[in-house]
Amino acid sequence: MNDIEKNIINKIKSGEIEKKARWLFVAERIGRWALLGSTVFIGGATCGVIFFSITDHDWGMYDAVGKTFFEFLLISLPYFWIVLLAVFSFAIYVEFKKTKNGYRYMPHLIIGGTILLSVVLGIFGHFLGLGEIIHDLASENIPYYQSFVYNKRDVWSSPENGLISGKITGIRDGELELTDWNGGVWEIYTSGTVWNGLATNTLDKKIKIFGVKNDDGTFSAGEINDWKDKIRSTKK
Amino acid sequence: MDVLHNTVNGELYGEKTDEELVLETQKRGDVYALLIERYQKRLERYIKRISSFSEEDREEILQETFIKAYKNLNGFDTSLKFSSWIYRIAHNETVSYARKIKAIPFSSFLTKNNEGKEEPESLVEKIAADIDTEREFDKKIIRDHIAEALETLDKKYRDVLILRFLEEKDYEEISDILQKPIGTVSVLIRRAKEKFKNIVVEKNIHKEL
Repeated sequence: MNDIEKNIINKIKSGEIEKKARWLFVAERIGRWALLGSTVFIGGATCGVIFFSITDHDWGMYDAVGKTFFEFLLISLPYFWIVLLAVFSFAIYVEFKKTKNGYRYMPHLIIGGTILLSVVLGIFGHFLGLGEIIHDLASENIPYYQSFVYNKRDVWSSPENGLISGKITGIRDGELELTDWNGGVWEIYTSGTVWNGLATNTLDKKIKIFGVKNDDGTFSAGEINDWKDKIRSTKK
Repeated sequence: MDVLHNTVNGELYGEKTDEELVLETQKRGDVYALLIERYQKRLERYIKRISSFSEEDREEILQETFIKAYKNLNGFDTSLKFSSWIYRIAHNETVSYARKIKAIPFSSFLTKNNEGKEEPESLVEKIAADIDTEREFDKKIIRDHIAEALETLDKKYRDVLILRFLEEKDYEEISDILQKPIGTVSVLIRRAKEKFKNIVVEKNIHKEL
């Protein structure tokens, strides 16, 4: 027996070096997969918000805000979520590489698989309404979130262009009170107004209005739409 | 324990595979001596091939390799070959050691012969034989130059060449040791051979024939 061998065997016998317990490896493996699973789930949820942002947007409104469709598309893409998805995809790639056999897979397969999985989960999450819930939570709780994104709220928060939206917070004869997304309260005249689709004069109903801003700060509604109804072409 | 006769406390272990010895070592630590015995020389040589450390440093790396392998024996993935696993640990330990002492782990490909004269290892001949050249190299004359050419290769290419041609590992084993996909390993080996060939041509080594 040579020196290295003798030295190591003596250390083993004296207990100076010990084998790590098997449960530690099992726990590490479970922890790693749990982390990976959570990241995949978050990636899927992020993808769900992207789908929601795209399908929820009023793409026909580009003319109303004075843009070409291409300009409107460029400012409307959900960059915040796309960047987050890229970050999570990279995190999944790194975590997957650390799993027992992760190194055996080519990077493009892992990244492609990750994106595919996120898209599938995202579609699923979108149809379950998860994308919208996360989007709303982000709007309410992430500071400056609205300044990162340009979405339907931005399009319909332009009284000068005859576009206003928010929640009905009061109903009176011939008029209603609307609280916009920034907390501003508007008096809306509704005599002769057309109520489209699912829009109804109901408290707490979210609506979007085509109309005219009056000089005294009130708003005369020409057409009221339910917040979720799609506007396919610009009408004022 | 009689490692030379592959016995521990009278029990014969010589016929057992590495993986079976790992299972035995999980039950009784002293069987580990047989695994050390099987791999000490091979790993000593491997560490020497992938580094330019002193003998003392190499011994330290080797010792750390065996200690680390022992500590992690319960986490040994039985779908792997033990040899791939312990080579991986030796490789990683060498890289870590280089980082620790801020050295660049490069191999010299030159080993001292009995007369104390440096001579290139068989890698040179093996690579030369493997490269598809139109001319038959006079290996005896150009060995030094080829060794010199190998020195200029990136570490990632040298690593795969060493494992493929000196350690005689197959692609799957190299993939498990370096923790890279098999596709990447095969690309690295192909590029390494191409680069090697280009260096040989650039340095006009082939004209010296």
